[in-house]
Amino acid sequence: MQHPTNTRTIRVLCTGQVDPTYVLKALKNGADGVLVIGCRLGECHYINGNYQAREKIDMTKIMLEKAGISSKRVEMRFISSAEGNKYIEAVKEFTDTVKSVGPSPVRSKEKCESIKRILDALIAAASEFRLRAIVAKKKKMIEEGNVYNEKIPQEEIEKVIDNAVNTEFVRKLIVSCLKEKPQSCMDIADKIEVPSALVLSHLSYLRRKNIIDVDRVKERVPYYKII
Amino acid sequence: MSRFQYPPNIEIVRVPCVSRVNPLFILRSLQHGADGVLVAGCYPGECNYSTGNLYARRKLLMLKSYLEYLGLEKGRFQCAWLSSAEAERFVKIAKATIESVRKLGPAKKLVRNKFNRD
Amino acid sequence: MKVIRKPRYVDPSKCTGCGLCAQYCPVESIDSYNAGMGIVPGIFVEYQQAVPLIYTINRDVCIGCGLCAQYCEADAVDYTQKERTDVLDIGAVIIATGTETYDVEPLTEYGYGRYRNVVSSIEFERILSASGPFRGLVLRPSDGVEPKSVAFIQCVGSRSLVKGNEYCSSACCMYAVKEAVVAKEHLHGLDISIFFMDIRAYGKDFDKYVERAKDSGVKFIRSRVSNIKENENTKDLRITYESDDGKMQTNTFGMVVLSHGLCTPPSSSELAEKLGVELDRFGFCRTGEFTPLETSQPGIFVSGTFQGPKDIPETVMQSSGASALSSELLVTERGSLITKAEYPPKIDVMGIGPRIGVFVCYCGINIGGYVDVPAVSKYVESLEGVVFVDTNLFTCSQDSQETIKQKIIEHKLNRVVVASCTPRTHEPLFQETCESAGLNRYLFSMANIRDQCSWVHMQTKEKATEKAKDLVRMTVAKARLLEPLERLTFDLTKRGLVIGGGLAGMTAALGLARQGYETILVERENELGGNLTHIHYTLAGEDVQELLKSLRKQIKDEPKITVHMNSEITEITGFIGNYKTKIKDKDTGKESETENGIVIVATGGKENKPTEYLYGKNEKVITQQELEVKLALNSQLSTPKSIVMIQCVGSRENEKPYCSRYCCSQAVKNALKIKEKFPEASVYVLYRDIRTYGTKEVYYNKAREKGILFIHYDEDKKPIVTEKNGVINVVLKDPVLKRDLSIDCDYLVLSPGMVPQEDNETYAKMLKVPLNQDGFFLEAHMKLRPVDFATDGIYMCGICHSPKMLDESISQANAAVSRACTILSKDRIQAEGTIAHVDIYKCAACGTCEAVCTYGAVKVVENETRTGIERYAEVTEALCKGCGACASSCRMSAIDIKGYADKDIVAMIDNF
Repeated sequence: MQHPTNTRTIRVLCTGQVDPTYVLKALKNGADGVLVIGCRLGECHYINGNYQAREKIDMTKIMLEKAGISSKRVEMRFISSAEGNKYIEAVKEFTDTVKSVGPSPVRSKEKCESIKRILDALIAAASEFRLRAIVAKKKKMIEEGNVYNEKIPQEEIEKVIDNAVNTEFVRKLIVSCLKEKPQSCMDIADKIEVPSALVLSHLSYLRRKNIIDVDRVKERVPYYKII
Repeated sequence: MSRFQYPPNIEIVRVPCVSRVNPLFILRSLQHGADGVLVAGCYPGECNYSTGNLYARRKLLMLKSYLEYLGLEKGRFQCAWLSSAEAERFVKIAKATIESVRKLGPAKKLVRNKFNRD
Repeated sequence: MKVIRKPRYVDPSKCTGCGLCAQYCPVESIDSYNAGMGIVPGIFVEYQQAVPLIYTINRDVCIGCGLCAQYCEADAVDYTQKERTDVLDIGAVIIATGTETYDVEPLTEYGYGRYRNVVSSIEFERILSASGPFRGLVLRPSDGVEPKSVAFIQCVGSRSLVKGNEYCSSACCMYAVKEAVVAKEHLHGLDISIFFMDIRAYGKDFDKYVERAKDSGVKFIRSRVSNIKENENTKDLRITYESDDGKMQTNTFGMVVLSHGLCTPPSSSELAEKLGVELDRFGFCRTGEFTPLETSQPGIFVSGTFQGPKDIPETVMQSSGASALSSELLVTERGSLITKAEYPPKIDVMGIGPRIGVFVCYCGINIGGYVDVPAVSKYVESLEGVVFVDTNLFTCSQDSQETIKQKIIEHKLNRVVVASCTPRTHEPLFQETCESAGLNRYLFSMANIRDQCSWVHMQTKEKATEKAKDLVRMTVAKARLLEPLERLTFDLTKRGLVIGGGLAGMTAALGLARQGYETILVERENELGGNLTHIHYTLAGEDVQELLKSLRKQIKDEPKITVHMNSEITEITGFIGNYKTKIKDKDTGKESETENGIVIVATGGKENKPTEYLYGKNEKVITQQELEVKLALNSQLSTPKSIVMIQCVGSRENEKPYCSRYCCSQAVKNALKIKEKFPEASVYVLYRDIRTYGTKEVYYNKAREKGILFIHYDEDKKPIVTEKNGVINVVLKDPVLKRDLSIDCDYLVLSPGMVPQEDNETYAKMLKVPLNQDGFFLEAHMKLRPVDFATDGIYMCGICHSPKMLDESISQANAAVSRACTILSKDRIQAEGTIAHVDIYKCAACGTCEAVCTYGAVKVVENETRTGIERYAEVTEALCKGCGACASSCRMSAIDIKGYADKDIVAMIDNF
């Protein structure tokens, strides 16, 4: 069966193995889109792998939207390994979708630097323990209930994930900003386009966690650096 | 409690109040090969025993001049005044003391009886 | 009493406060401790110094992911905890629920909530704090930049009939000045302006603090700010106000701090309803004018800001006072629920060499994760004197205590070293464990390899391990030399002595007697009452003479009180628990001697005599005290047409820089009384600040409603008083009209404030206690110990501490009773173990140790010894606190501290 040559396949044992950081790294390296294909729901060889993958990909999509990158660039499809034609359809459809969104911003000369920085921050956020833990526990908490034997409504967990993505993303952006040189709150706010009051509260948090510290105070403006 | 990190080159001797610090203790430490000695007490006016730190300050300042007169490099013996709630400040002081003592190199003057670890 | 215990989902007997759970919690919530300016995880402690240091799950944000339980090494998280109701048998209740800060957001003219750089004073307090959100940097919330200028706006939500509460919140003036001074310390060159109506610095040394603030450059602007506007671009704030010369001015500030007031939260009114306790119209607990600590429900007492807005010293006084009154109810049951700890007979360690046992703690992963504990253990085994080494996961757990006890007995250990956390947390616990195994607690020592090693050297495991070895070696070197120490105990005389029979003295004497102790009350005059004899009514209209009559009768009827009228004390010798007092009757000259365990000083004060404004030269110029007597006795005042009152006469200036606190309320009280008796009279009050703090503010409002005119004058533009043809004339510049006002008056009433009694100096020398610069007695700590002296066993109350209102004297007297009873209720007084000891044959009797001792615990004496009459320094063990100032000052090495002796510390130095 023939299909377009614009895909490169990476084989994994189960989609459960797909780490959001893989997807983000692929985008950072210039991929216009990433398609994750797993077994049909309920037919996973490793029982729960594809469910977990779905949660992870959903989270990845949220991350991309927050970063201003179209979430259409990442998709997951559930196709049995016997359904070859469905696979080709999926690839064709996805290619069209991505084409309509446009080429990866990594390839544009003006946006390249900032997009790479953004994706670095997303990768760091996706590596953060908090996000990985909640996403992993999401399915169990909705279906079986949490440690208090309550079933948590989906919207509530999604709100927590949304919140966590927001905070981790901005924090990682701030940290990546400071990797270059010590900067002030206003400098960072301008660069990453986040309101300075919000940046300040994140800076306080990062200081408390001993990730950053004040380098010096010049003319009433504190400059922060990474420890 | 806040777990601010500082280099492990400082050993701490606990006393009930900085007023307990006898100038002879400092001399002894230097004799035993300490590269530097840091004495830390509460802010004037905040002593748990009312006036202990005030007496200590006078004694130690006098000791400082004597040590310099004896030829001890300036900076090996230091005093610091801070509140027990100021963890960050203690770390700043500890780091600064270690740095300044490091710049002076290993102690040679007054060393008499260096402790053998092994 | 039914108490509902809300679950924390953490088992307090297992949680070690290590904080691992908080590191892994995935949810975040607003940090209410940092006034909403920070973030805490879903399982948290408010701050590291919390007592108890046990983590709690915030159920509102917790999603129940179970991560905290997975990571907890002590297995302390318990999701199955439920709310439970306990029924407790209670004899007396004290309500100390406090107040909350007034919500300033509805006051939209100030822009709080809209303009980021307008903050509330509690938020500013956290910003200034080294443990706050900005770690002590003063930053603006909008952009994280240090502001150039800050404005404080006082009375936000207080002293307002329209928006907020009518009363004055009592603490805001002082806290604003404090925040201003501290902000200037953090940020040199910071420009600060405080916009105020009156500066209520009424407390002891408060005015001095305000003057210092003025000297350091803080600007005080007497003007009420009506609104604040924000500059869109810079986020700076513009304040427009009317200045002294009547012109409108606009100033720009980087930040504005709103000094919000205090009010009772809804939960307080719910609690009050449940307990059947009445509230006053402001929502505070209703108390009697002369019973400020008693609620409307017998057996339920109140203290702190729930009783009314107040500052810290008054809160501490009320709390001690409430505990005295509540324990009065339970006197017959004293000690009935206490179980005495039983200890096995002590092991005799004399003559046996040291057999040291070392227990090295992993503290979960707090030490174990950063220090090679097995390596440290192995090393310690090789140290001289060490016969046993063990490691524990958590040395502070209950089962570890059992293990330690067992090992002490099994291996015949006679010195114990625990290498773990800071002694501040568990030293007493381990000392108890040693005692329960028969080992004297002073044979125990700790090496801190957590806070001073593993926690602060997390990146360098090798070096941290080497350091841990060093620290344990040092402590073992000290342990070899430790000796068992006894905590000496003394008998005490269960009798109290109260000096002074005024309101405070009488209240204290009655308090002590009702607690069951014999009390001697010594009064200088030939009747009890002190200043009460001149006071007839209060602001609220209560009859003070009735109170005086009642107190005199109560004292007379109380069999446990012996009154020495017309007497003075000639000598007091001894120390806590063991005083010998000589009392002389002034008439007969007869001297009697008595023994007492504690002393309460209540010598009071008296109204000052003015030296200006024609006082003493014209009989129509009188003091407020004299006016009150005239008003009470009706006959002596011919119908006046006009009365002028001048405040702060000879007060808050020159030699008397302190505020006497009660005079503004007294003037308002008498002004209202005049209006009551003579409604047509014109009354003028000339003031520098009106200090009717707390709920007294409403009387100030009432006075103005009744047409009493309050005119402000500056310290350097005092009114000029002259007499012409028998008529008194007062001239001063009116600040609003900008013209001179000339008032003829029938009476000129002066508020000269109070001065301490002259014999305060005599008593200070006799008791060896200090006086402050103004001649009042100096307490151990201005805020936290307002009735104690640094020397144990002596207490103070009433005006001899500082001028105050009647109800405040009553609270303070009860506080003194409470503090005194902590001594009197003991069977024996126990001294500390690690105290000073003199080798009298080395002592040169130079007196240096006596000079440096704050507690008066060591004195040079002359006594018969085995070598003849010698002079040497003698330690009063009961008073020594073991600080060591004497030991390090002694040039003969004659005086030393047991437990922290020169040899002990030198052993540590020799082995670093």
